[in-house]
Amino acid sequence: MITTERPDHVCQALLKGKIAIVMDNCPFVLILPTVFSDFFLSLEDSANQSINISFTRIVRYIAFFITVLTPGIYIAITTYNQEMLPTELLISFAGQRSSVPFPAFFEALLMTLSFEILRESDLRIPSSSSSALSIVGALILGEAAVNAGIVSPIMIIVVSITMISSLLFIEPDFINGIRWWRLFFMLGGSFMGIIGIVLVFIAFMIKIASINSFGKPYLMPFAPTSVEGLKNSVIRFPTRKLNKREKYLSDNTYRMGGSKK
Amino acid sequence: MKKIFILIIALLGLSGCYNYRELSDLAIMTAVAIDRVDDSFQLTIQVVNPKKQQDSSNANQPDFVVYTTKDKSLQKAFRKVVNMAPKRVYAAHLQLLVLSEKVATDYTDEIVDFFIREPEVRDEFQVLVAKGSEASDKLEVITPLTTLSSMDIFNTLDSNKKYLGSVSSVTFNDFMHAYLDPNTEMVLPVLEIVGDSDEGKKQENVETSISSANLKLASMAIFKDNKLAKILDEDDSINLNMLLGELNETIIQYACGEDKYAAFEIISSDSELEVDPEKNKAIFTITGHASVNEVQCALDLRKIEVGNKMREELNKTIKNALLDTINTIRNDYNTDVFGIKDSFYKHYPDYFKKIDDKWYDEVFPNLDIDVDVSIRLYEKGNILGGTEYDKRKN
Repeated sequence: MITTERPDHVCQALLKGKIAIVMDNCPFVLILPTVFSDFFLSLEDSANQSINISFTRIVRYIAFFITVLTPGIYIAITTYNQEMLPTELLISFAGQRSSVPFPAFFEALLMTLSFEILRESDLRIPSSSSSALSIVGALILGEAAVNAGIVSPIMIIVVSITMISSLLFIEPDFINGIRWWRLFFMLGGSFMGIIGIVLVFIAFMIKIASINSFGKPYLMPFAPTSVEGLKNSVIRFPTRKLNKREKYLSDNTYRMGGSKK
Repeated sequence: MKKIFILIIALLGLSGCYNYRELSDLAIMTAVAIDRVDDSFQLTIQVVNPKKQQDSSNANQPDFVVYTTKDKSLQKAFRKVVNMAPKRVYAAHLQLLVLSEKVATDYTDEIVDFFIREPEVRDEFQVLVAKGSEASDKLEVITPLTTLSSMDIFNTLDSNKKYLGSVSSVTFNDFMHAYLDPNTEMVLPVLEIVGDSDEGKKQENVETSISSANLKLASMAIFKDNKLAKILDEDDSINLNMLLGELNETIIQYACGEDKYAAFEIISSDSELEVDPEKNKAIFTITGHASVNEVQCALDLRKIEVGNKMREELNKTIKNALLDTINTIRNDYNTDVFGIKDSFYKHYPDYFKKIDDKWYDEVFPNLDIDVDVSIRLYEKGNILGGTEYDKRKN
């Protein structure tokens, strides 16, 4: 389920046919059921042109896979499947790795952990000092760690692209899920290379395909496929085409303003 | 659920990190040269020095390190590198295999056997023949424009193949297939050193604008019965590549007047071989486009007749050169690098069975080989008349 403090978000969810739970003494409203593709939507969607929205959605889906997979794939390639890289790139990687005493998996773990600490502290302190914190984090952790030979520059790139991609998602539940699966992919990559990545990916697909959110399948518009739902998932169709509710949410599929034939 | 979880943990743990190798434990081998010295194989292995690529504080270090080992078997010789290097040799990024003339003449069997069996190497690395006594010193030359000499050779081969066509790229895969196929003969590009090879090994070679040693790829080597037969000269190599259809671009020139030349750029060319068992004939048909690049004579290209005459002259020049090359290769070395036997095998299998045994004794030397060249002139350059012609008119 999604938690929100914004009234317009709740309204939109109710109009879609979802359930909102409002409670005493709690600043959040719970919206349910929530499926995988809901985490890729944003509130401004209905106010912008569909082609631009489609672009940002595609970017979000790409960012999701980047943030989950990149550290795992990096570990797998540099420790097992070196033949997959072009020679020049491999030489450059080898040069950067040559002064680092730790295994690639430990290096990745160290960097992701330090980033999580940074993000958590950024959330807790007042915004006036958060810019100072970013400077400390980015410059001191990044630059100094590379110079001290604790991590390699390429690892900094990998971790930063991972973490920047993860900032696209704001629901805490979703971020927690991403964090766990990223760890699993890193473990798989460090134990069995690319094969491990593939195995963990299969496990990942099985897992999210078997989740039910309040009785509704978690991968709803994709599998089981619903054509109406797909119109507003990865690609958003123009608003005049979106005149039906998604069937899994409501039997009353005609929206207000939609054509009744 | 619990069982599955335990199963997954066991799956990860029990794999035992098979094939785990940290990047910093690998010595990345980019090129290997094979010589035959004192009844054993001498390997010269070029290993990248990754530290040099990282930062400028290691500026005095070499870009690559060369290890030399020697043993009766290739595998033992490869493993012996561990005696000298702190890392394990990693062969998946091998780009070049350089064979000395002696190895290419007498030991191709051993080479092909070893590299087919070896699972780590890809079969897409280039195979070259080193001209001169040794293959090893070719890999020790420090080249000015690229950091690794193997990269330099690789890129030179690539650009030569694209723009001049005097070498064609032969990967190990092609080499292997030509070796295993009894009906085709192998061709390999040739690598040579221009200048002083001892000077070329020093760092000073890249500190002056005129290098004292340079690597050159300009010709092809032809084989007979999987043994090196002859290293062709540059023009014959271009002609051979044109006949084999390996040519992309090249420059053709002919004398259009006294001490005056016209030069043409072949933009694309294609070759087709047709054989006729009844007439005992093989015909190469060369088609393609060319553009006029240089005309030193006074000719007015605006006139259609002049253009047509020029085209005929060009086709005649190419035809004579190709026939020359064919006859030299056939008469002096009697080797069928053109794939004529293979063409008989593919198109006339019954006839092939009859001639298979006596191919080199009777059939090939007496075969009527003809060349049909029809190259079309497409572009005539920005000045149609030519400077000589325009000057005279004004």
